[in-house]
Amino acid sequence: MDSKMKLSLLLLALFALGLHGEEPVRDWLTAEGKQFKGRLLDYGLKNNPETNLSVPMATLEIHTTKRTPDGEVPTTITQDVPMEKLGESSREEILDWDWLRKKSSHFARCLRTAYGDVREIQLQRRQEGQLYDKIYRHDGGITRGIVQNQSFNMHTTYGNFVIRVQALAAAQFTGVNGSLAKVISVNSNRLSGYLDIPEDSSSGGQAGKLVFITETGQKETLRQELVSRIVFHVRDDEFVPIDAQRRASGRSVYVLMKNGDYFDAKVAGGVFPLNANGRQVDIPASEVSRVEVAGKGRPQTKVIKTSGGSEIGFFSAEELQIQMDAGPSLQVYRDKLDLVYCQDGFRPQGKILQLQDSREARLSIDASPDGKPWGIIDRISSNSPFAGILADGDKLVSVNLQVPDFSSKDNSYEMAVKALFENKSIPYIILGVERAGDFFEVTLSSGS
Amino acid sequence: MRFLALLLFISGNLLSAQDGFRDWTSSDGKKIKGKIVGFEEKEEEGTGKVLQVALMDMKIVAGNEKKGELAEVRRFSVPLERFDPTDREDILDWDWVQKREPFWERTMSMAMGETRDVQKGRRQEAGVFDRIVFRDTAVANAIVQNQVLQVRTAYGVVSLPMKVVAAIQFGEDGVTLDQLYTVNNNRFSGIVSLPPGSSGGQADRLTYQTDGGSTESLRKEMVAKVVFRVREDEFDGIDAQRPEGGGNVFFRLKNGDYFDAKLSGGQFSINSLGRPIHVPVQEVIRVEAAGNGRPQTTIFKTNGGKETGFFSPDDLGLELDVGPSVPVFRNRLDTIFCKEGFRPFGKIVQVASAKEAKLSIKAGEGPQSYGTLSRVSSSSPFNGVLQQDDKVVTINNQIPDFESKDDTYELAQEAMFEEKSLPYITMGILRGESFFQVTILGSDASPAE
Repeated sequence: MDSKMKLSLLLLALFALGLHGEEPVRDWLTAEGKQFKGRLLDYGLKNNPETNLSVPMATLEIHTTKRTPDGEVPTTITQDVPMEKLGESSREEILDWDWLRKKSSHFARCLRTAYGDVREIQLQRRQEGQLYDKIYRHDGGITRGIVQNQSFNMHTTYGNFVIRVQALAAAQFTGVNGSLAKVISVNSNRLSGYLDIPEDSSSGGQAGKLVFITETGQKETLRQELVSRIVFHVRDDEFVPIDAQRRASGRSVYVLMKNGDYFDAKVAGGVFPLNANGRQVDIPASEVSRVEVAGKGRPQTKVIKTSGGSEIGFFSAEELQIQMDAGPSLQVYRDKLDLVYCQDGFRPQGKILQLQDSREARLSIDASPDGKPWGIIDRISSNSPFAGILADGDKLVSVNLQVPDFSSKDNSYEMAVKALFENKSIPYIILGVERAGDFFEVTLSSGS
Repeated sequence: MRFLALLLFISGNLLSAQDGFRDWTSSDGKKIKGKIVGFEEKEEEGTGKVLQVALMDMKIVAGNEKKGELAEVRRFSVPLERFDPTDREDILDWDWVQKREPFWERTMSMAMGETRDVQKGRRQEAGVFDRIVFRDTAVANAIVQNQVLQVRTAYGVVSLPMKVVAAIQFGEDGVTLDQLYTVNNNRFSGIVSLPPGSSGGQADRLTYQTDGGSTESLRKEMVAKVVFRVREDEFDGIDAQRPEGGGNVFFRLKNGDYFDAKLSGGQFSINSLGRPIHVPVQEVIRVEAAGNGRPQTTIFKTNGGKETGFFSPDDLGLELDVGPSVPVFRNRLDTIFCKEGFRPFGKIVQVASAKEAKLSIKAGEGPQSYGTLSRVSSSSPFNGVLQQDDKVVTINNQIPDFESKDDTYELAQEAMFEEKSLPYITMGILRGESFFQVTILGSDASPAE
């Protein structure tokens, strides 16, 4: 494991301890340099009764002693301490703590890896060095830079659309052999097709050229055909437009396409228009658990409702108007759909494998010998439920969209299996798998 | 092959016996043995009237034919009107077949493993139709009305007149790419779209006139494959596009596509260690582009020399024989063959001898005249390219015959290795629903000679 990766995992561990456990009692310094023991409870703007002004204050549980007839006995006092009364090092540490606390939901949500590659991310307030996108070329070269292009064109088998670069976590460009491009959005959607770069007046980029600022501040361009992959850094504001789109009226649903793509989107009007035995019914997405589309031509469509009932028919419109959370809007021909999940939070990715118990979920995984955090599938027996899906030598590059750890005794996969089958604290496990340079995902769900 | 055999059978019937002689009846009922050797329309001297004249070799009996006494054969120009009406039609049929033979030899009688419908006789009553195979496996004989299609490929968007398309296979569920073959056996793969309006239809709808005469339209997603009929004028645009006096080049791309095109400017430009070099297409046998990024490019010249470097313009401007001009980024190119007529399609397998080229093919069952590979040994040069149960559906673009003692593949091998009359063998292979081509080249020469 390289030092950067170790640091990343360490920070994540510290951060997790700090947020999910109680802050430890530790030494703090006053502005005068006096040391005292205490536990940090909170930080924020509060009214200073002495000045009647709102000032930044740390709420500390101060551990001290008080005099009693029996002598000095330990006691605690909870006190709001103006930051200016604390020493510089203590102030910085409190600001670090507060920064991490505020970023916690972003860290928990953002896609930390894409295509098995760790996205650069600011994990501490005082982190040195700028974050960069990683630009991989077909000739094997890698450049760190900040991509300036604002959007990419995607031409998929179900439609053409423009997607904002800011909505992307990674982009795998069209292969030399003509294989389709795949992009992963920051909300972990997958879209595949031919990708091309449009002319971009804001970045001064010509059509077909990637524009980026290098680490040394140089503006460079590269033909899109020379680019193999881009792994974008985690931007602080990358969820802002997506959240705005999600908050717009109507429920976002999760669409799985027959070609293996998946995305969060809203259907026009928030309803599924169905022709059920000649009867036209518009079923609100909010009343639907999932929609299954089977067959060709006029595919049989089963709408399973949250109430337990279901409607069978076919979409009365040939094309469904879809507005992706990630931005693009397009008309999708009904045959292209496979499954639509309408309940919040249920977002399986890639192939879905149902397992009965933790025994069935067992996988023989070795830690990567080169120190990377990946796991390497040791072997898949022919009677394993994974046979035909995973293969010997496959790299597990992410578990539940996070950088995995396969060097510890309880590795990330075992912990996830425990959470799925024993604690029942997660609904499924998503494995990111790399095989011979190609990337795919597998979702393991409990058969129950 | 079967189709050609049928045509020969038709023309053979007109001529009867092995020597091609048969009985002909004159307008006044007299019979004579003869053989047609030509037909022409010419002006009658004096009157200026256009006469249709058959050139016939006639047997003039000089003794007892049954006793083997030789008849004298003389050539006559006989006005068509001198024959009885039935024989007149036979002569016109014969002429019709003669005139079409070069066209039939050139057309792809099969596309993607399916026979293309073709007008087989002058007096054929049945119409000729495109064959539309639907996703639900139903089949319709119809005439597609869409005039153009677009295919978005890895190297750009190509718009093609539908007239130049021999077959389209739409990828299933978007998991596999769409692919199409043009009438000159060029291959394009990507995402096919049907623009609106060209046939009055909406975007991405295939509009067709059924054999019952009604016009119908349906989403392209409901179509698995279209195999177009042979159109009499399908080469017109292509022939007009081909440069006079050569200069036409065959481009193979890294994604498996291939096509004929003219190189804009007529010369390859490479940068060889900082030195710009320009080589006219006419002086080039082939160009090989290897590697990624800035691929090393080797130009093999007709004079035996070669130049190595990399293409100095990023994009090569190509004017496709099938119509459009497309710029292709240098990295997308694989091999470019410049020798006229040298067109290795699909995957290339190099073999050293007829022995190495041996394949175990058994005649397929059912009405289709394909061969089925019974096995491919691990030591075979075909290993990894062909596999057991692959169907050989074409050989050198024609329908093969695997029922005869010397099957089409064996005959082609003989022509390539013994008679040296063929530079290579091209096979069309069907594996499941997927079609691809393989070209067998001799390994004693480089892939362009």
